[in-house]
Amino acid sequence: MSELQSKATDAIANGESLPTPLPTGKRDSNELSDNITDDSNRVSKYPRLDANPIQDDAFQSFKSRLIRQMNHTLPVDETKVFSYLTETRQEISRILKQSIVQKESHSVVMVGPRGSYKTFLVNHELKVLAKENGDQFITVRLSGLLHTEQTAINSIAAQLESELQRLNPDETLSKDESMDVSSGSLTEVFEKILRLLDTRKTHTLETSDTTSTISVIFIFDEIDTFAGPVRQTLLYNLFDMVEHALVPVCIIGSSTKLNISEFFEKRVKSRFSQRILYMPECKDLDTFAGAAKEMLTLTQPKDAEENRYITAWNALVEQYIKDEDSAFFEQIRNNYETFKSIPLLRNSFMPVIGPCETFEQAEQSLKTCDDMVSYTLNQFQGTLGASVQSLSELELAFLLAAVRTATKNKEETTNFNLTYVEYSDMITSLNARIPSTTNLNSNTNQIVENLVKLWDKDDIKNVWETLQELTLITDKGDVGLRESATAVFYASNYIFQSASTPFDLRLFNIHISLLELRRIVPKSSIFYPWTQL
Amino acid sequence: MNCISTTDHQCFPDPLHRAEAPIAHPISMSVVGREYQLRCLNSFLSPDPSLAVQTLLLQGAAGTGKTHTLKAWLDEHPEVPTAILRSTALVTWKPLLQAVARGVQAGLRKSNQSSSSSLPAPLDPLQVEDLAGLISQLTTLFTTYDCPQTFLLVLDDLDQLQDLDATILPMFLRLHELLPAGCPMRTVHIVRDAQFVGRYAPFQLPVVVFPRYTEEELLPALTGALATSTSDNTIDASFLKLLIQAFYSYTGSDIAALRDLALLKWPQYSKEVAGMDSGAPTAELYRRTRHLFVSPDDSLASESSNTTSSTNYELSDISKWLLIAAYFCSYSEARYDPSLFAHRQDMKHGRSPYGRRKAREINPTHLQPNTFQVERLLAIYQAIAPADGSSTGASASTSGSLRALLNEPLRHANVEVFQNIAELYQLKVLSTNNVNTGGNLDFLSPKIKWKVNVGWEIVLEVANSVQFDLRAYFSEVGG
Repeated sequence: MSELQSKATDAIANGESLPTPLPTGKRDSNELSDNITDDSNRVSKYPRLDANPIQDDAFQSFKSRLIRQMNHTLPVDETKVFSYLTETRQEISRILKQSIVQKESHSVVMVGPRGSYKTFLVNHELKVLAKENGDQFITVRLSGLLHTEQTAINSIAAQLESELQRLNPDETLSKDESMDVSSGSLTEVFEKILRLLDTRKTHTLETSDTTSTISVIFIFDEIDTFAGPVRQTLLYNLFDMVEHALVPVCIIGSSTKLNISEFFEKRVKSRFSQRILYMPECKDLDTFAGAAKEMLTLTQPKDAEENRYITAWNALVEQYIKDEDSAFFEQIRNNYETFKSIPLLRNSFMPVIGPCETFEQAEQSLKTCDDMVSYTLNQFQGTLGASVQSLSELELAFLLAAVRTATKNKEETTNFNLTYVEYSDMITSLNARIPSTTNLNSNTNQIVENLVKLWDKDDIKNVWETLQELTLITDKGDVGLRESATAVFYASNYIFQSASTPFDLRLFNIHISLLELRRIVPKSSIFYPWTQL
Repeated sequence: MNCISTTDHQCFPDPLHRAEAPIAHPISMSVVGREYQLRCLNSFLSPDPSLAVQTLLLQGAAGTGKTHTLKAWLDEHPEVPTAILRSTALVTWKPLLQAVARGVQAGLRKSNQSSSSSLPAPLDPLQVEDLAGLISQLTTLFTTYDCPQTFLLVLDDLDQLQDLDATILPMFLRLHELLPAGCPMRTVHIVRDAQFVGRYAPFQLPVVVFPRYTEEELLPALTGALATSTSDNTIDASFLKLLIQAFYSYTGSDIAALRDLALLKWPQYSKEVAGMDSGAPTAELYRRTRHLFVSPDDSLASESSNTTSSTNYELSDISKWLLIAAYFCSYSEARYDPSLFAHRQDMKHGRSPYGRRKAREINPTHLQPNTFQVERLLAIYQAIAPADGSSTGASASTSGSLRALLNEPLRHANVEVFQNIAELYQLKVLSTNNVNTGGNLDFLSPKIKWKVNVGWEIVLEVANSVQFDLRAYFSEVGG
């Protein structure tokens, strides 16, 4: 604890005024720019004290490598792919090699839930192939979350232009060519693209003067968003290109829909190769633990001397994964039995290694996994139960009154007026049981006042709004998040009945039941008896 | 203007002027109760882009220190160029995209200011009409400007964007796939609603949750909030303790509300305790200033206004009687109208409308109003409104004879009455069952059903202003 913090804590305990904070100076732009550009002269208010600089560098190097591995930002030849994805990876690699090297046209759709490494595998294999065959293909990326059919055309044209420029920096598209590609219908656009690719030709191989055609790789995320009920023109043209184009085209789509082929129109389905790759999952706990181990086990860097921390760390990881009683294995098992998700395991592991400054801290952190537990507990603090536990007494009392009123109501709704009546009945009944000089026939001059305060209706309105903000109660007519910008636009022009109803008469639904409140409210609370009708 | 607003509601300009913002309270003081969250930020974010996650979500209710903690992390890493956007000021997706382009350009230009070469001509962010335009501009920016560190794009209160739809967050999640390889931009989304985060759970993003402050954490957090928002650091800790004890149940963990109350009551408190010994016990301080801690007194109404006095609401007499009549129409049953409003005595005989054997479980005035036809409104209006223009609601002749009935001056429905009905409709005091009429409402159409749109308290005040005893007709309503 810093000296200032301890002083402040003492001051609070003694009821004194707090010490003045640090002088609030203005940082001038020169200082700020120094901070940004020159890392070695970084002006930080909290400089770290390194006990052993040499050891610290090695540890920092190890820590950076570990975090990069978890973030998949290591160089491609050092990036690990999980073993359980090997077959899928080989399949993708084969398809891409056939397209890029052997100049064949292919199409495949990868199907799997989010976070199953579909995009990661494709990107990884493309990076591997780019090392030796980088000038033999261009990549066009589309995403159903980012593009509509119309904007996809412009995006394809823009990406083509930039990729062709990358391959042939000396040859640039003329203004007419670049503006012309994206104009016209989808079919015309695709014809122009093919013509463009044909005429642009290609690259010159390094070992000879021969030229060969460029392969075009389309990576199509969320391909199912383009497989709507109306004409699937973009997909039709893309798959048609695979069938008939002279230029080798490879389309790799990805989707979360298991029955993606049923989404395609007949003409699209007939042009699609029907090749669907289902992403594998970890079938059992051993495989899952193996994947976790691979995520955390490091290889020594190729161009640097051996880092002893890496060796020690790998041994620790191996040890804790083999030991089923270890805290780390327990976390793996918990994740496997609930989410079965390597990305979520990675998220919870980041706070384990992130704050560590020495290897001993990292070792201890891995041994206890307290930070993983803390992260998981932190996620539960956003739930309704945690929100109820964070309420003040008045907020809790009013929520109880709302829930009681809604429970008594056939439609399970309530409004502010009814809730206030119930609240005032509750408090009146509560106060009748609390001894005070107003209740007792006392002749003494002493005043005993332990009654619970009954707040005014005007003041309670703030509490009602707080409950709304915490989404413990919501407007009965509330629709929620609209699916698209168009839906939002139409909704914004529509006046809802509830918007014109007086505040205290609007009907609300309650998102927590009396039974759940009975479990959450502590038995020592004075409002506990009210959790039952 | 794109700006960052902290829990102090203090607006920080865009990164071009970030250097001019006062240095925050020391990190150890200002993030009390948020040490774990800061530790998580240190794990997920880094000046080195290869060590930072692509997207990070910070989730927590309003006033839980999300932006404040992130600012503390940024203060600890001044080398990280940042663009911080306040989504509530941007309304729809197009200004949001333009603001992203503007913020990123501003951040990159700021971070490249010290380089020897002159900065290229700035791009026009208003040319970003759609996502493709944003991708194009970001690609140009990151290839033109030098940025070896992480560039942090922060979207504050993203779920409070007025025209938010379900595609906006996924758009930002996938944006990096279309930017140049190795682009150092990383995004942090600050979100209030846990259900909004839950909707995107399949994306398996790292999330750091900010729970509401506990009562014990409130004092240091409030002290930090006051220190950063005011230049005067002399607010006594004992005052803050009393304030929290008195109003915690009312404000909950809302730091902003507590801060507002502290700033409201501190001048009075310091005046009251001015003559007291500085070492006086807390109980003595409380006894002297008890009246300050009984009520929040944070209403917008002036202190001198008498809440029991009637207010006119700037309505004419006819409008007031129409409003009272509309309230009867919505909240009393039509079958009791003759008993309640008939001028002939013999029609008033018989069973009282509320002389039921069993009391109602729910007060009907607490429920939503029922609809009625305009004819019923006019009939009750004629029955209750005085005909001579006086404000008193004295009943008409009680002789009961037919001659007396014929001689009795009644308020007939005339053009003034309909003008006042239109006025009440414009004021939204009366509403219809069809809200989307586009202004072409046929008041006399039999298909249109009306209802009163104000609550009991307001109608009671209006009735008191014309000396009409409304309570007599609603015996079940207290207060």
